[in-house]
Amino acid sequence: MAIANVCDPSFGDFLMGTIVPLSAVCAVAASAVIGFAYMIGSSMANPKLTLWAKTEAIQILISLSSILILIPALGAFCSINATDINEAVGSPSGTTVVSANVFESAAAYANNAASYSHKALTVIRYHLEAYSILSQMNKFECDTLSFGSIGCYLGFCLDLPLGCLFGESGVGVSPYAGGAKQAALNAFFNTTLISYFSALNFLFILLFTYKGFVLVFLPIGLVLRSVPYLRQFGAVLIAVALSFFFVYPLFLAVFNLISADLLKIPDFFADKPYFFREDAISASAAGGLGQSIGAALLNGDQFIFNQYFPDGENTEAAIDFGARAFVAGVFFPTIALLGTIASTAYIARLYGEEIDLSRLTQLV
Amino acid sequence: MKKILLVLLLIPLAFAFGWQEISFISMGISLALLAIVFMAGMGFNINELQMVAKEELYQLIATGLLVCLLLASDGILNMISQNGFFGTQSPTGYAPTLQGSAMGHIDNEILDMSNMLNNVEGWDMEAGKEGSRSLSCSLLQIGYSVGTCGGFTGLNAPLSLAGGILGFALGELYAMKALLSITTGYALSVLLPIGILMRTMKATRGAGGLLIAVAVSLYILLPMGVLFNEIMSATFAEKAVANNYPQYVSGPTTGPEISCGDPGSTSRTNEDKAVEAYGVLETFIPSYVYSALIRGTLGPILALLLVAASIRVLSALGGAEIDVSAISRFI
Repeated sequence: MAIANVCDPSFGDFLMGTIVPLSAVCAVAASAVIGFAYMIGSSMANPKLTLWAKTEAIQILISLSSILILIPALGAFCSINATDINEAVGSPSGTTVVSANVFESAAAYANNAASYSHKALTVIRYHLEAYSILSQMNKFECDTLSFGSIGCYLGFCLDLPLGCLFGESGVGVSPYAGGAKQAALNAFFNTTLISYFSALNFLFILLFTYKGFVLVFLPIGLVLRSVPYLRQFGAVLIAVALSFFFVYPLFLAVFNLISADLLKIPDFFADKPYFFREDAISASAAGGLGQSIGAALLNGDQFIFNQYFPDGENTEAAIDFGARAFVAGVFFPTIALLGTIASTAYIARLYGEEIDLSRLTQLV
Repeated sequence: MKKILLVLLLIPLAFAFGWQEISFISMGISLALLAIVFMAGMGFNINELQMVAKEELYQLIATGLLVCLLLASDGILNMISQNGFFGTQSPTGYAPTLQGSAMGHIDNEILDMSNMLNNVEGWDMEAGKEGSRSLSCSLLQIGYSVGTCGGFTGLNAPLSLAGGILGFALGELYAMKALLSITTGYALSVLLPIGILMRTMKATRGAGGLLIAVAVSLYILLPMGVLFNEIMSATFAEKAVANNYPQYVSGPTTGPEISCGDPGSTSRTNEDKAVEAYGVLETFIPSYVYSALIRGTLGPILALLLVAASIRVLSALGGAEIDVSAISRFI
């Protein structure tokens, strides 16, 4: 399970030892530029330049407030417990939630959604492998010499396969030919693959948010907000950093509250671990080639089928699994991303800037 | 600082009440803090602070109106969803509500679609098996091989296509069922209160507005879309039967006979059997297309379109600017 220990003291050290000093350096550098501009404005008696410098000095203070917000908000998010929220909102059917803070819950949802999608993918792949092999399987039924009722004892009839004694005389047939099952599952294999990649994508965004956004966007945004013509861009960077740092995990943590029902493995597969195996089944796995041939002779067409589906097949349940993976891995995380983007606009507005959301939405 | 205080104050308060109480407590605390900000603005003669407080007050009023609307509509919606009509429409085993009725209908559609898929898979396998039959006769590597059942393999391509379409429709229905089951259980109890709580803070106002919109839309519009499609398809079925087109609603009771005779036969008997099976399969097409495309594919698309449109309207009401094109891409 990929985790980011945001509430760990090491992250606090990273924040206080790297981000805050880096931001301070950026603020000082920007202040130096502003001070220099003010000095030139004063010496040249240029009111435009001095006014600009004063305005920018206020903007530096506003930008620095982002850092001040970051630290207590981080503390609050680390202290909120998912079980308390679950009890407060009164989740139905006595659903229990693992005790975790907002950041841990968010990571848990993203991890579990990816893992769930992968399990769905594995189950569908297993079915596809089985159906592909079964559809290509051929058998040859030798012409037999039957003795009629004389050769039958206790329900067992002796038929001599004379057709294969000196050559090959008989009927060849593919007992599991056809492609409808593969076609039905292929569509959902592709969908589940997208769900899996999507869930991983949202997980990586989350992990990158914890360090990358705060490390890069926040200090750069701080500087850019003090540079002429780049204030809007700087505001967007700060808004994106704060929004992704707090709102995105909050959304995922909320979805983690419903994950007990959302990420439920269909009952048919729950107690059958062989559906989740990722390696191919070979004849030797069934006890060696000799034993396999013997078993095939005794069990007929069913032998290979039983190797794959000892408890029967259930294409529908596999499709159900894939469909649920789509809801868990694509639908809900996308809502989280949309909410985060909506929040970015509001935070940018706090800095006095309007941003075009349609551009940001193209991220989705 | 106002937001931080708000967060800190709300944390302990948030753990004992339902969504209605949490909403009112959030708004009460917000109002108190706004009054403090406004007083500070007046006391220190800072116009910006007064303006911020006023602007936030408008937003608070908007949140209050939204909560009142939800409280009022909660009763109305419960009244609608528990209407006797849905009780009579609800398949057995489900609550006589809007959501229960929708779940029941989805279950019925899944059952129908599943039977169709099973039929198609069975016919496809039989056609493949019979089509692959060939007769061989050799002695000391000298001999011949002949297969006159090949006509049946022609059935595999359309049956595979049908399997793909039915499988996709079935998957869509399962996804709808999962979404319905989640939103029935959690939309009003989890997503809505957290959305309202988030909307009381400026930084998370957009996110809160979206969460409220998602909760309400999924809870109401999704089952409504399912039932709307059900009513539409039931009306179509009724008219089709009344106008002597029952084949659009239900197929023949018995499937085709997919069985090849002697694979070594040189007469056209086997080819004729394949053609006959194709003819019988053809009679199933109208009812299967109706179920897979109208009930299994168009239904979920319609319901999701309703949800997307509703999210757009409600999130705009909630103050969030959401580009629903991203949500529409699900469809």
